[in-house]
Amino acid sequence: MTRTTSARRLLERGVERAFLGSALVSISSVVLMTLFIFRSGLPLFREVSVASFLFSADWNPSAAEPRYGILAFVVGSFFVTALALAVAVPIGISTGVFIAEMAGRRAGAILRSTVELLAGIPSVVYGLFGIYCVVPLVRAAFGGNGYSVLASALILAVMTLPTIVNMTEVSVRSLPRELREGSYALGATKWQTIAGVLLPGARSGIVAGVALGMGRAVGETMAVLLVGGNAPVMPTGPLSMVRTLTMNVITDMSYAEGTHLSALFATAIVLFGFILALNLFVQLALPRAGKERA
Amino acid sequence: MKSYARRRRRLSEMLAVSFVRLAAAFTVVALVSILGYVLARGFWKSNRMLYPVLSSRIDSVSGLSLIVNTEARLDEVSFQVLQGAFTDEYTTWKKIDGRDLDFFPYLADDIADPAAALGVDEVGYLVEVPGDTSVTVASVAARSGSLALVDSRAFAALDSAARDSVRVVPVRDLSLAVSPSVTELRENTQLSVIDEGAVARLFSGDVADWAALGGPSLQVRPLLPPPGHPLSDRLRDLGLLARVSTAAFACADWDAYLSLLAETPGAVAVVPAVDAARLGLDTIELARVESGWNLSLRFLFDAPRDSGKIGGISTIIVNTVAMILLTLLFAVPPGIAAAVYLVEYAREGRLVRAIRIGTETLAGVPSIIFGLFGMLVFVQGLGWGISLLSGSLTVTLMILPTIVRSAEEALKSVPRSLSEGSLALGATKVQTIFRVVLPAAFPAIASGIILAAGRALGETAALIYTMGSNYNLTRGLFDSTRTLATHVYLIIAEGISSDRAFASAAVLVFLLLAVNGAARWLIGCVGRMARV
Repeated sequence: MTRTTSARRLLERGVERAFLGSALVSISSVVLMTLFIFRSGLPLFREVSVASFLFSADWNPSAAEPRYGILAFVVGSFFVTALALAVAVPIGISTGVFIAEMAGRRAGAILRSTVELLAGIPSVVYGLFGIYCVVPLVRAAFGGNGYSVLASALILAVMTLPTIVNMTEVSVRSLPRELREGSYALGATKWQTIAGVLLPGARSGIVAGVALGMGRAVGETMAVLLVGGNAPVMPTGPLSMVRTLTMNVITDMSYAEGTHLSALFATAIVLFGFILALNLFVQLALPRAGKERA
Repeated sequence: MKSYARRRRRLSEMLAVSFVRLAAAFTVVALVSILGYVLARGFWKSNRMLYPVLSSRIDSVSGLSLIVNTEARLDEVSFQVLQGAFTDEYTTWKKIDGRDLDFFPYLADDIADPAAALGVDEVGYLVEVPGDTSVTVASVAARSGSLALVDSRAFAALDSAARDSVRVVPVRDLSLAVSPSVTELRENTQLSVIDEGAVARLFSGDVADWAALGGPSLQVRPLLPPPGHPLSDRLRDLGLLARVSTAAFACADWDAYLSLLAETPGAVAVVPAVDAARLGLDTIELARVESGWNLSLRFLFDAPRDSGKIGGISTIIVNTVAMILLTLLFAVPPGIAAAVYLVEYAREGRLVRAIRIGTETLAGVPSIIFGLFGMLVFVQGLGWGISLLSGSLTVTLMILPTIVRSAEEALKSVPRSLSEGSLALGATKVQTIFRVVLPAAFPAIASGIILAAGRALGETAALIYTMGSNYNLTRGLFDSTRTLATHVYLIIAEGISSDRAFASAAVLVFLLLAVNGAARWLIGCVGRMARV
């Protein structure tokens, strides 16, 4: 009797340990990921100074005197992302508010499935659509060869839309009923309630959505790789070709060696560092948003 | 004054509300146009193809017929392909009908001068001569990948069983020849291609000047073949004689036809390709739009060959399924276990907070970073190479947060009373979790798992340097393996064919829609259970 009880207790404790171990997989992956990528990227700075890596736009790893400056890609990433968000944020917030406050049952259900499907479309399919539909449209409308910052931004805008819509919807919906009723009781119209009460109330959730959408846009690889043109030059305008940080990592990875390879990992450090900072900002600085999602 | 302000406010409110509605509509339009475009091009292809010959085809060219083994997948050939077939241009069928099969050209021995009939100096070394017409037909019927030229009359004289054992392939044998003045090089441009539809307009006089088709400024002078010449019937079939331009020349005989073609500026005439080749006439290529089904059953069930240039995607679909099953095998147990820990064991505190932050952060990491991590750890560190195992483990980490989150939600929605009842009956915590809580949460957990599988299905960036690009059927955990999404990317990146990229992407989208539907169905089940 006591033996079975103690065996059972052992089992209980063992299972709990196993559960805990599983729960630690995610966080240990993040830690390991950080360690491994830093370990592979940091050796670059034995040969290239951090300043010349970050603040030079001269990338020529195969020259006789190789140069590793990623400023053009940092600028490219942010240019593309900013343009994408300029399109996606107004549309995304509006759609989220529409689903939460204005849509009927049917329209809400349709929009929710739409957003879910948009989130599920693989990036390579977005890229395929981009090459054969968006790039020719940009070419026809604005000239140039079409592979551009603008084409990448348009694709990324649609890709970031689901994140922004979802976060907006959830945070607007989770606002207490009294807020709305109080506003209506004061004689505010529906729109005044949305613009004056609900949107400010849901601000932290919406900011979190935009930040996460930004993370998705900065980290996206395949879609922009197919429509951005991938020329390692400083983008000069919305129609110039662009190479982003992610494109730079994946393009040369198949053959890079030595310093060149660590330069690619160093590029990944910059990318990863930015994404980590963005995520920690969302989870630590915007506590309400974290709770809404949990 | 007051009412003016109110009206202005009402107007701006209306504008704002319509912007919101417009934005919501845009979201739906974006989805419909993306999915619609990809599916439409996946199922239907429409391409502008260039041919050196007109569409008109005939079973017997200069008294010879082309017969093929019945397995061949071609409906017609251009005269130039026919020439190539008997001058050693092909060693396989790839470029002709897309089969990866050796090419065996035969000639019947009763053909007087095959080289002249083909308009070449001599036939190729690879061409075999098995014997007379009936022997040749028998050889073609017996050997897949073979084809032969036989005398049309001798073939027609064979009994029907022999004739049915092979297939006669019609040949497109008419070129559009022009006077050298038309194809002259001017300012670095040269008229070399016209739409096939424009030929009738050249003959009818609707296009009276070559400049209208991008050529020199010259009057179009169509030539009509001599009366009674077999070409007249062919032209009539092509619809070129329905209405004839006033600028046309009616030629008295064949020599006049050819000499007028050479001497009249702006002259255009239909000439058998064999004569055009023999006499070195200037010809114009013809563009026609070819449409048809793109995604076929054959594409789904054939194995890819030659980097996916020919064949289908069957092995790639199997590889994709293998990757997803393996990934779920790795990801589901720890994912559910982590969720159980968070819901059933953990007390809010620093550890739980760290676990939550870790999970959320992992969910936000870009796939390319997962790819690099997988490459450093699984491919190089553990020495598993670019393989199914390395790729699956990489994707496992990617989808883990999705599974943890959705399982957590599912577990939280199980009523407390259920587990309390179980505990009250004397069951241990572990028994309660495995026998009561998990079964109750199962449908909701499953729908989360299915959505996670959808994410794995579409992954590319993380797999390129961890799972590789081998499109053959995977032979095991340590074999490089190409999935459908990677295939779509590589087909575009290698510039193979947009039709094939869209067909593969359409299959991918279909699988995703199926996955999504399955998840939704399961959620529906949960809803119904909750209502009961």
